[in-house]
Amino acid sequence: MPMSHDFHCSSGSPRSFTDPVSNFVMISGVDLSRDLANMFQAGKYPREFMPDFIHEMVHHMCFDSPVGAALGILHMRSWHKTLRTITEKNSTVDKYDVLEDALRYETAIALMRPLAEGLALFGEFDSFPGTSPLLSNVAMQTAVSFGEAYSEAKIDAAARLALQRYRLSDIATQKKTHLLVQPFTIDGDGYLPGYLTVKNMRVFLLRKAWKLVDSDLFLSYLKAFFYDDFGLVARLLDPDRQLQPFGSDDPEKDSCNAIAIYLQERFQKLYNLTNDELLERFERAALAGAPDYWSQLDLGSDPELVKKGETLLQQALDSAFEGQQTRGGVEAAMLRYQLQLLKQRHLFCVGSFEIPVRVNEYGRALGGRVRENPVFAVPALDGVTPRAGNGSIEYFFSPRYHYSVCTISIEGDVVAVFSLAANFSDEIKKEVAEYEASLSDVLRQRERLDAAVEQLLAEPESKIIFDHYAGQHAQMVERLYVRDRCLALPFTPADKIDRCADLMRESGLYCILGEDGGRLGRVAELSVLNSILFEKADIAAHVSWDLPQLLSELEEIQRKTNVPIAHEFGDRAVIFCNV
Amino acid sequence: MDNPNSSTWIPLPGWSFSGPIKQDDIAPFVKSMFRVIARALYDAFPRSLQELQFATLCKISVSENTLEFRFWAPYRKLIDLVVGHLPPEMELEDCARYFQEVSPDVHHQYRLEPDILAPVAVFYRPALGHVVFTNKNVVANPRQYLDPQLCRTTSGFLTFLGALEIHRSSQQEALSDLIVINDPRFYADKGLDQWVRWLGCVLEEGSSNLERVHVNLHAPEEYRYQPPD
Repeated sequence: MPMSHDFHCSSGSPRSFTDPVSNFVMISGVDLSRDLANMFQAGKYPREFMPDFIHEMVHHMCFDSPVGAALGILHMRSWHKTLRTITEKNSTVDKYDVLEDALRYETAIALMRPLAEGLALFGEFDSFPGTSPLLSNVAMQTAVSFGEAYSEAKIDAAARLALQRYRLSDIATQKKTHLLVQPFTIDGDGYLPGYLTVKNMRVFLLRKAWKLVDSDLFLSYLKAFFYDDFGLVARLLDPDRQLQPFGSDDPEKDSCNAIAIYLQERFQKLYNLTNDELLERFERAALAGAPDYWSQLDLGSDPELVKKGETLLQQALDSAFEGQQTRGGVEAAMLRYQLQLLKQRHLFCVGSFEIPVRVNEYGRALGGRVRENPVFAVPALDGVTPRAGNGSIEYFFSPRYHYSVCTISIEGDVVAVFSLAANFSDEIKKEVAEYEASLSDVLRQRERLDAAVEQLLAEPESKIIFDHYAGQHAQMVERLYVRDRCLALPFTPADKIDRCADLMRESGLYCILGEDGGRLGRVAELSVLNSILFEKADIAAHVSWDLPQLLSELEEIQRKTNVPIAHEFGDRAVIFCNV
Repeated sequence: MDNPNSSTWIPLPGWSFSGPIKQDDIAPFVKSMFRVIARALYDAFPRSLQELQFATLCKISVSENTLEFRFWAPYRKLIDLVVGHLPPEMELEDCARYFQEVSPDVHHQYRLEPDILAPVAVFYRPALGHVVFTNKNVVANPRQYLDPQLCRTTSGFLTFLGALEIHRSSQQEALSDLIVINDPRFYADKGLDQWVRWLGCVLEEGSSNLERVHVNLHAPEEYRYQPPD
């Protein structure tokens, strides 16, 4: 049974990624001896990684949420149950239980993936702090890591400046051009359908919620709407529904169908409910920062279901915690491991380096080697005795708790924890010392555990069921984003969607734009500029080509293909791109 | 040549002097110490020399009623002259006579903070009897001196050590525990082998040790950093 490749990746090469289960992030290409020193200094994260950084930061922000935790729990529960079938002599674990958890996870990941990628790409190319007092974690972290004149008091200005510098660069336009010619399919990562879904959602919602002119607020709002939703948590962890592979009178009795139906309804609710008044309440509640802010807002989820979700999530955490204390041996170790992964979901890993590490007799942890010399040294944790081995250095930010921390591990054990953050207390240090901080170890462990689950579910009976649902998922995702409902093209008449989707299937907007590379480049430049400038006059002043001419061409294209590229608002003085 | 125990290599020459003191007298006391050094310069180097420049390290420590003045320089002859013309080596009356014999023109342009090792550059023009002690630039911007490339000579290295301590004193405490090498090209630079040795020791031990600095008696701008046994 091939489980999905569920890592959420950036489109660059080599690809950075986020693991939804552990919420571990890998920014590809950062170099220990060149970049680590800069990570310790505000505003000095290597700039060439900014697009990947933001992309993965959005994924991380989304998965550092109740829905992210529920997804992690489902996946880890399938590990735990599989392990019991292997280690217990007369195991009472039913393979269907493993299948149940695995398929719920797969369903949600498959259906939400284009949305997740769309949000990450929106963060990369569009999100820009406006006048809202609410600043997304992405904007904050962008300011901290890339803001040259970073100061806490002017964090929004620092974020704007850093984003502006990137968006006005040729590299941003090149990357955007590359995105616009991605296949319009949900095979793989579904970048283009996902991106167009998010972009068009904003253009659509702007008509009733002008506050969404602040695209950073839009990003925070969408994240909250979908990923902080305890209603979805309730559906994911619902103990009263099971898989119904052989059909049922009520499709909602099937656990996976219930998840899919719920998600589809959420999109509809987003369109129906969003307005300026709701956004104002959202802003206030999010700024107040109460842990239960989501349940105080009416974001369209049934309050009973929200309550149920909260209870189920807590129960799942409690049961892992209790199990870790009451069970013995491998099972206790597994539950402890799961709990650590859940606890550390808030950490955003911005640098991971596999290196030889040693702790010496002076209580120093030393890492890396250039001409036999270490390149990094910090005090080891108290009580760590001299040792050496393969290890790693990880550098993390905690957007939730506003600190950064560096950990050094040897063969999976954290031997040093170092932070320059003023709020990094001894208590936090103790907690971090318990974390599964080594990215490579977590990934290796995940590979082993996933392989065990796959092996268990590879038997024909399970495989048939798995394949059945996998086929269903593919159809559902296709229908939701690309065909029937076609969230990606909400302005296109229903009877024209298939034709548009066919036209864009191979190379995205290239055909729509008349296979004109120059025009494609201008559209990419326009849309990137549009993330920081809305007034037509301002945009025209920035580009070297004729804006009215392009807009008139785009109008003609929309008339012919039914795919809108740019929407004009307010007596046509302001534009917002759909792509 | 590499063995610092050979007669050519001597520990970095240094001297310390303690005396009872009131808070208001610290600056005059420190000035008098530098005047002693200036006087010793006069005897240590031939008058025919056009100009001499080198770096020293200095640290003052103030306890309740005592001030300790510590001073290190690459030239043993200079330190020997200072030590030899101060109590207990010389009676006070003889000291006074010695200092009155010649009175060089001394310019004090340094700032010393208690318990912080600071570099002080010496600019000496024997023919004019003119001495400048200064660390204005290092104190104003210690970071510009934190460059391994400057550590090819003893003076460069001493300036680096002092600048590092001044820089660290202005940073948060935890930063002193952290060492990250962000440009390891210097490892390949043969002229920096002694600085690389120093770095290796600091990486291992977390701090540097002036006792491990040795200079060539006959060529004081050559130095070695001796690792622990």
